[in-house]
Amino acid sequence: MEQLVEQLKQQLIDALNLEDMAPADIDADAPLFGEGLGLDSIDALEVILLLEKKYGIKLEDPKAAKPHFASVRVLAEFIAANRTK
Amino acid sequence: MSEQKWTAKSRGNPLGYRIFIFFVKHFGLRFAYANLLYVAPYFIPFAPQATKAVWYYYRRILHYGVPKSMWSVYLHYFRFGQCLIDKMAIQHGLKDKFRYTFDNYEAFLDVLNAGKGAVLIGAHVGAWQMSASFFGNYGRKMHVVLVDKEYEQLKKYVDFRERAFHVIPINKTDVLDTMLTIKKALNAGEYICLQGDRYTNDEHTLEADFMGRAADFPEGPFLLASRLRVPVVFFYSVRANGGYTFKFVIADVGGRRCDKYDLLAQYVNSLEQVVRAHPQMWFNFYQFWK
Repeated sequence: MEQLVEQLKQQLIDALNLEDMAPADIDADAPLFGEGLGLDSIDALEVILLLEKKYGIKLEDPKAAKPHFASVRVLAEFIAANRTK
Repeated sequence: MSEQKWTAKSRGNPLGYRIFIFFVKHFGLRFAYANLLYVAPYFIPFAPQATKAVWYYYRRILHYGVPKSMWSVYLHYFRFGQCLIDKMAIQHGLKDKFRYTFDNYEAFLDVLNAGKGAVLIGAHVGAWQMSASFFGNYGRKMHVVLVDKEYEQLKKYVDFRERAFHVIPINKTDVLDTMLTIKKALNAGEYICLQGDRYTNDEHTLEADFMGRAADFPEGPFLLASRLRVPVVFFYSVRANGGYTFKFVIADVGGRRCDKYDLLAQYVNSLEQVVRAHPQMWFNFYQFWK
C-alpha cells in the first residue's frame, strides 16, 4: 500500500503541475480538498481523469465517490480495491 | 479599467419582476417594451459602472463616434430589457409570440444524437434561456452549469417544475461534487452547458485577443472541454427582427490533440462574429477588456 501511496503522490504532482512539491511534501493523511492540499475544481477534474486513465476507474455515483477523495491514503486504498489496470 | 469585474450580482427585485410579468400577461409584449422607453434611460445615470463599461465597448472596442455611442448605450439597455421581458414571456406560455430561426441546427442535432455526450459553450450574448423551450426530450440530458447567484436569477425565468433542463450549481466549497456530477453526465452521453465569457476565479483565466483587444476568459470551460475529449459546440441566441436566432458552431476537436488554447481561439472567433453582427446583444455589463 505504501508503494501505491507514493506512486499516487507523484502522479498527482505530475497531473496537477505541482512543480515545487516533492512526494515527501504531501501528507498522505491530509485532506485533498478544502484544507490540506487545497485542490480546486480544475484539479478535481484532473484527479478524476487520472483515476480513469491510470487505473481504469470510472466514477458513476458522485455521492458514493466523494468519501474516497478524503486523502491520498484513502484514495490509494480505493484504487487498490477497484483498479482494473 | 481592469479593477471592475463581474460580481455575480444582478439588478432587479421581486416587485419589479412581478410588475413586468403583470404587463406582459395583461397588456402584451409591446406594452411591456414601451415601458422600457423610460426605464432604459434610468439605468444610464443610476448604473454608472455598467454605463461606463457599455460606453467603453462602443467607443473603444467598436470605435463608434460620440453621438452614435450615446444612442447605442440607450439602445443597449433597451435591448437588454427586451430580452429580460422575452425570457419572462416564454415562461408564461407566450412562446408563440416570437419567430425563431436556427443556424446549423441539423449539425447540432447530429452531435447530440451521436451518444458521445457534448460540452456546449455559450456566452452572455442575447438570451440563451430562450432556447430552453426547444430542448424537448434533449432537456432531460441537458445540464447547465451555473454559479449559485446565476441559478437564483434563472429561477425567475425558467419554471423548473417543467424540468426543461437540469442545473449543476457551482459549489465553491465542494468543487469535487461539481466535477463528479459533470463527469457522470458526460460518461452517460449527456450534455454539459457552460458560459465561456465570465469567470469567478482570477487564477484560472486565459487571455485572448477579442474584438481587437486583450481580454480574459475563464479557463474552466475550455480545459474541461479539451480534457474530456467529447464533441464541443459553441451556441448563441440573439434577438433580431422581433425574433430569436439560435446559432450553433461545431468546434473542431478531431484529429490532433485539441488543447484549451485551441478551443478558446475557435470560441473567440465565433463569438466575435456574433457580437460584430449583433453589437447590442453583448450583455456583459462590466469592464471586459484589459
